This record gives sequence, C-alpha cells and structure tokens, in this order.
Amino acid sequence: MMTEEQRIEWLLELQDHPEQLTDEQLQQILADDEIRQLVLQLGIAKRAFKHDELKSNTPDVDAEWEKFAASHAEELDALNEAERLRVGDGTSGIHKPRFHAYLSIHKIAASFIGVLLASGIAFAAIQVVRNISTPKPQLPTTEQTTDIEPVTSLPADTVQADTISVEPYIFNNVPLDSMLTAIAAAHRVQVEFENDTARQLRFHFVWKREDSLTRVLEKLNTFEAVNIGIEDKTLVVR
Amino acid sequence: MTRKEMTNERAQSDARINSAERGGIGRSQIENLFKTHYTQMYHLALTLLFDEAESKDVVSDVFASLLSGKAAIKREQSDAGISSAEREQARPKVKVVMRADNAKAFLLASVRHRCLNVLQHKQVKERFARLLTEDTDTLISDNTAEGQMQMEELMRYVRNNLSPLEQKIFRMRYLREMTCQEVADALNVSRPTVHAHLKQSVEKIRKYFNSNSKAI
Repeated sequence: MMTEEQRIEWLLELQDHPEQLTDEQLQQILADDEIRQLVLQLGIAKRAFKHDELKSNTPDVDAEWEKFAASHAEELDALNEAERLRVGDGTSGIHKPRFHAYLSIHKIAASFIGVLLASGIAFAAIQVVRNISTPKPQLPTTEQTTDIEPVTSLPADTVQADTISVEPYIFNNVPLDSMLTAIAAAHRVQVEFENDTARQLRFHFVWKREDSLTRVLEKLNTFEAVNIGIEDKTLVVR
Repeated sequence: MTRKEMTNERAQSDARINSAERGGIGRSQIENLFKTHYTQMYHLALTLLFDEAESKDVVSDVFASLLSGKAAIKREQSDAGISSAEREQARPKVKVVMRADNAKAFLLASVRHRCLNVLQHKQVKERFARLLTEDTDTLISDNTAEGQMQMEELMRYVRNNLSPLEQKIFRMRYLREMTCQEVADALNVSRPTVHAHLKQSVEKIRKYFNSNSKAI
C-alpha cells in the first residue's frame, strides 16, 4: 500500500514521462480512485491558475471579428441581404429588445420612407386632380408613352439584384497578421512569416474580394515595409 | 447526476443544436454577439483546453454554427391566446435552443460542449500528462459566478500557502507544460530540486481539497 507521499512522487514521475506508459498501464493507474482523484484535483488547480492569468490574456476582439467575417464572408453577406429584405417586409418587429437600438435606426428610416411615400401620393393626387380639372388638349404623343413604359414597369427587385455585388472589405488599422490570415483563408492558401516584426504592422487596406490573389498581393506590396511573395500555395512575408 | 447521464445529456443537447433551424438573425446581430461575448467565451475555452489556437477555433466554430443554421438564436414567440395543445402542434419537433435574452448562457454552454468534445477526442495519455479534466462530475461550474469564486478562493489559498518559487514552478511545469528537466534548466537548479518543490505544491493543493467541504 502506497503512502500519500509515495503516490504523489509516483504521479509526478509518470506525468513527466507519459511516453513510457502503455495505454493499458495508464488505464490501470487511473482505475485507482486515489490517483484519479489526485489527477482531477491537480487539473482543477491548473484551471484556477489559468483563470488567474486571464486578465493578462485579452484577445483583440476586433481583429478576431475581421478574421471571422472574412472567412465567412459569403454567409454573412447572405444574412445581410436577408436582413435587409426582412426590414423591407416590415417583419423586423419580431426582433428582441436586445437589438432595439439597432432596430430603431431602421424604424426611423422606415418612417422617413413612409412620409416620403405619403407626400408622393399626395403630390400625385394633386396632379391628377389638376389634370382632370384643366384638361389639356390632346397631343399626338402616343409614341412618347411607349418610351416611358419600360422604366415605370421595372420591378423593384431588379434594381435590388443589380446592387448585390461583392462589397470590398475594409481593414481599418488591423495587424498584417490578421489581414493575411483572412485573405489566405478566402484563397485557401497558407501564411508564413519569415519576418516576425511584420506581423504587427497595422494599416488601412481595402480588400476587393473579386481581385485575384496576385492582384491583392501587388496592392499590399505597394506599402513600404511590406514584402509578400507566394511560394507553393503559401504567402511568405519577408 | 452520473457521468453517463451527463454525457447523454450533452449528446442530446448537441443533437438539438445541430438540427435546430436558424432563427431570424442577421449579420449585425452576429457581429454584436461576437464582439460582446468573444472574450468571455475565449477565456472559458482557455481554462478547459489551455491552448490559444484550439480555444479560438472552438469560439469561431460556435459562431460558424450560428451562421450555418446548425444553431439558432430566436426571440421567444408570444404564445398569448394559443392553447398549449395548439402551441405544441405549431412548435417544430426540434425547437431552436437559444433565446436572445439568454444568449450569453447559450454561447458559453456551446463553448463548453465543444471543449468537452475536443477533450474527449484527445488521447488518455495526453489528458493525463497535461492535466486536462473532462470529467463533468467534478468540473467546477466554470461559467457561473460561483465557479469563478471557487477558483479565486483556491488561488487565494495558493498565494497564502505556496512560496513564490513553488507557484512559479507549478506554472512552468503545468501551464507552460515544460518537463521537470526543462524547468530545472530554465531556473538553473537541479531536477530533484524542481521535483521537491513540485511535490510540496501538490501536497498543499491536495490538503486544500481534502479539508472540509473542498473534497471532490
């Protein structure tokens, strides 16, 4: 029967050289309640130590969002479009209080559109009344109306569809590291920094996502202190 | 609740999340949730996985599942005027899991599920050597104020009872994941010295857990 002290010494040795254990041996060791409990207690202590260090490990949330948004650009664009259509449908009211601030902007915009529409209808009504009350002499202008017709009958969603394009992505004061990770993910290539100091270079860059990778690199390389090449599906920062 | 029940519950919950429909969430809401909760989600993942890249992947995967419609955030619909039978009939068989006012709890629970899955897929040997605890029976309830207080209480004990050198060696050995020899080389002391300090630290931590209600 091992004493507590022996058990701890044994555990420390085993943990320092886990490669010397077979899986079966390890299972047998962990079948011992005392050992298993000791491992769990140390695991919790490790978590507490880590928790204590978290204050000094604050992630750059904006940079992480840029990376996430770039690597899921298509899905986010689709959501954006759906969101715009929902607002147009007037079904945005189903959103929750959490997003009230955001929605109120849309509500204000919708109110303005409503006021404009109402004014337009009133104006049109006045025009109709005027036209009826002061009938103009008929002019032989039948051809003109056919010219105008295609414009007025254009469905609203045709314009909408034309405006759906890949919008440029703007990196605003984002580290080169995050920028390249996002661009590389979109083009399915890797990134390698031979020059570590370049990782933290921050600048403003407009990424046109329809540009080819070569074109994007050309644009990035116009910045002083940036030298990016491509070797075998890897962006190499020198 | 036994460990088996907990595992079952986790599997069921994952299935629920995976098959849930996407609610009416837009890009701005995703961005808002991301920027509001990212740090806390990342920190939770770090205290379970102890690896920055893995933790970032887990958080990113949680948001990706929202985008792909595998999980959803939805406002609870007003059920006024509908009988419970009608409500039950109208409700899809697999209900969207998250309500917006409970978004934080949902996101943290999702991070925890994913971390536990990551841990379960690791070799027993790695979990043993790196002190990765995936046993839900004994895990401190990490995303609650109570769990945080428990960890802070343990750290107060550590600061009061472990010498600065013992704390440093524990950090190097377990958090930086250096071997005893590497710690010895870094501190310019012998390996038995490192071993002795580590043993004392473990004995003290053991004493903390074994005293009164701290036993697990």
